[in-house]
Amino acid sequence: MPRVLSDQRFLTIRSLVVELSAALDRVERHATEDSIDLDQDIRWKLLAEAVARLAAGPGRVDSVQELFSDAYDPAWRRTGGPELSGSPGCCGR
Amino acid sequence: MNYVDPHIHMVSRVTDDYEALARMGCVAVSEPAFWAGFDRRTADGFRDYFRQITEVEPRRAAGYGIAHYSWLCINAKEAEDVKLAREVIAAIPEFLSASNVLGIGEIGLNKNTRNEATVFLEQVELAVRHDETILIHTPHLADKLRGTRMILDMLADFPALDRGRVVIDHVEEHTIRPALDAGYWAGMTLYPLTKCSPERACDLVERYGVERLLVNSAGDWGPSRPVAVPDFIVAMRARGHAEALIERVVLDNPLDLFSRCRRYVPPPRTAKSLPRTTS
Repeated sequence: MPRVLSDQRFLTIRSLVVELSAALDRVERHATEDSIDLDQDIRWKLLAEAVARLAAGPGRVDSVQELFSDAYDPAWRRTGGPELSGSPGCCGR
Repeated sequence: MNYVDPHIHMVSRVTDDYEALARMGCVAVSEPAFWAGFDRRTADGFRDYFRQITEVEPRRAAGYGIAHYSWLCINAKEAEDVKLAREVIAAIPEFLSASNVLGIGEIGLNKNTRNEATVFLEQVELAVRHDETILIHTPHLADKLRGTRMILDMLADFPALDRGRVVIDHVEEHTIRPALDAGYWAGMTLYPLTKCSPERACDLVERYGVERLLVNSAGDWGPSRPVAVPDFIVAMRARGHAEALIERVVLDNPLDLFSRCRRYVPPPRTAKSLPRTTS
């Protein structure tokens, strides 16, 4: 018996997709009365891009998580991050 | 199945929750110091809180046969006031000899600010100086990826730090690999909306294995579910995973981590005192 795509789990996933579809329709339906210009709204753009990534194949969850994340700059300490504190030479530094 | 919740804030839970945990098979909890829902104004305020999690909560837990461990720190949300943070850091050694203290935590970042990073570094230094294990909070939502990478960058400045005594907590799909690859423990927090769900935690076990992986509820005063670890157990069983594998994640692993604290005494309800399996 399939464990990850059993009939019951199909219904769970189906429900998630239906909820997502309804939520997106709801936002569009109420955008005008909520005074939201969806063409300019970064949150809406992110959601639209996330939905596009769902259709892109395996690796969806990693891709969507990264989409919803602020960018990481490996040089953050040289570009305004904190100076190291504490005693010089402490802890093997 | 007996299990341990290695991250739960029992100060914000009612006594009925201890009873629910006991009924579900919880033999031990560990409680990191955290934000109380408001900014405390004095170091003495933190001293009272440290007494609560080193004296009061262990007694409350013992009433239900649950061992209670704790971690001490000033959390990232209150780290913007660096002067107060330094007063609190200076007070922490007063409590490090308490028998239930496992180490320093949950330190970390919240909004990834310069002051948060400064206070984080000073608490890592405190932990290294006192040979303590460390539990690290990673930020929420959009801040998580950047904050986790910043934390790993800062930890890399401590070559003498034993990575096998450090937990990177609240990992998700986009942050678990760098934490594990660097040799740290990784904690998955099961929350109703943010962080991880039981099903996604099962996915991460299937993708990354069980080595140095923890699962916790982080139950607190916000929307959270103190019996979330049993939800994970049920989800793992539904996928057909072996009992021994599940027990490794929910019991053996947290006790293995705890055993790396030099004060550690195993919970009375389990005889498990595991050898170190990871470096």
